[in-house]
Amino acid sequence: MTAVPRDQGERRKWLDRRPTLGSVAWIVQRVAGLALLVLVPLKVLGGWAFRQDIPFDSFLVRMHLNGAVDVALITAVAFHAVFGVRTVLIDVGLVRTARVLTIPLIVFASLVTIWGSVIAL
Amino acid sequence: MNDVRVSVRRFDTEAGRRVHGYDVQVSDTASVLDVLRSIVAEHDPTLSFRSACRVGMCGTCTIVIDGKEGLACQTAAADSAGAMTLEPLRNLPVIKDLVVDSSPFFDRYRAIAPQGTGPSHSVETSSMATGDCITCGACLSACTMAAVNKSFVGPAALFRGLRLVEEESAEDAASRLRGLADSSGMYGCRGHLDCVSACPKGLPLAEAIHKLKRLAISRSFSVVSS
Repeated sequence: MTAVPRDQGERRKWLDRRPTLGSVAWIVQRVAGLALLVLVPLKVLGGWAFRQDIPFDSFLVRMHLNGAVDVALITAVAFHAVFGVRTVLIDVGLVRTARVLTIPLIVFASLVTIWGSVIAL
Repeated sequence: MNDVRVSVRRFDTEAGRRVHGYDVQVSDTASVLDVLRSIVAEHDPTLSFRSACRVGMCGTCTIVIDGKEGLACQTAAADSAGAMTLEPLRNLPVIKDLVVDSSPFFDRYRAIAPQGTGPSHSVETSSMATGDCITCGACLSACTMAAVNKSFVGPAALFRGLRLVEEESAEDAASRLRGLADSSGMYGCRGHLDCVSACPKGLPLAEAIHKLKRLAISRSFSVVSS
């Protein structure tokens, strides 16, 4: 058999398989981090506008009092935090396989999200 | 004997990519490699795959079996109840069918100077073997970051890197740690831990990478404080 030059061979993409637990945790944490960049300033500025510490802005106040924004914020905080804890535990060598702790952490974050949703909506 | 439907993801430059199915009868003790050999003998002599030692020492027959990397010679065909999917390793160019070009794996491995610098690690006497690592490429195939970050050297190279750091002189180890402390080295790992479940030898690859990170961080603090 003749070897095919490297650039002529078929390159398999990592997305052509089911995502693994570790890659899901990684992506969710980063997406949640990006969401927090928007949601935290929105919530804080909305609170300041509500107290009129800054000039009143009806959009910011509406966002501050919006239950859906609260749910999004709680979800992003919960998942970003639990996967951050997972990363720390991996870094210090306490978590050595993907399944250990990841599923309990996802369950915990989901419960926090559900609890927050019930209160906020 | 059990009837197994074997789906093989095939590729060649002329026919392109396709999946071929084979109905094979396998014994309870047959390995996936036995299945591949029976396909070639009885169904399709054009199917390409690699094998050598048949005892799990060389890593030549590493493929993706039912979505997970494994040694074909050491994986029982009976584990796949009724249906089995065989694919080539990921993150490596496919030459034909289940045969991949391993040179990118070894290029990444060589990038860390795996021969070491100590007297017991002369270039002449060193081999690519690292402890129990058989350099099969399963970890690189499973690693999501290796697919995203083409310069990432991969788990096997970093596992070797840790061993060298622990064995080399303090000066050489510090230099090696500095060399590995970037996104192509230890910081390219994001802790997905896929390499751990893929390694057919069960090596603590992720643990080694994170030990490297801890060593690098503690060394950097000690340099700052001294």
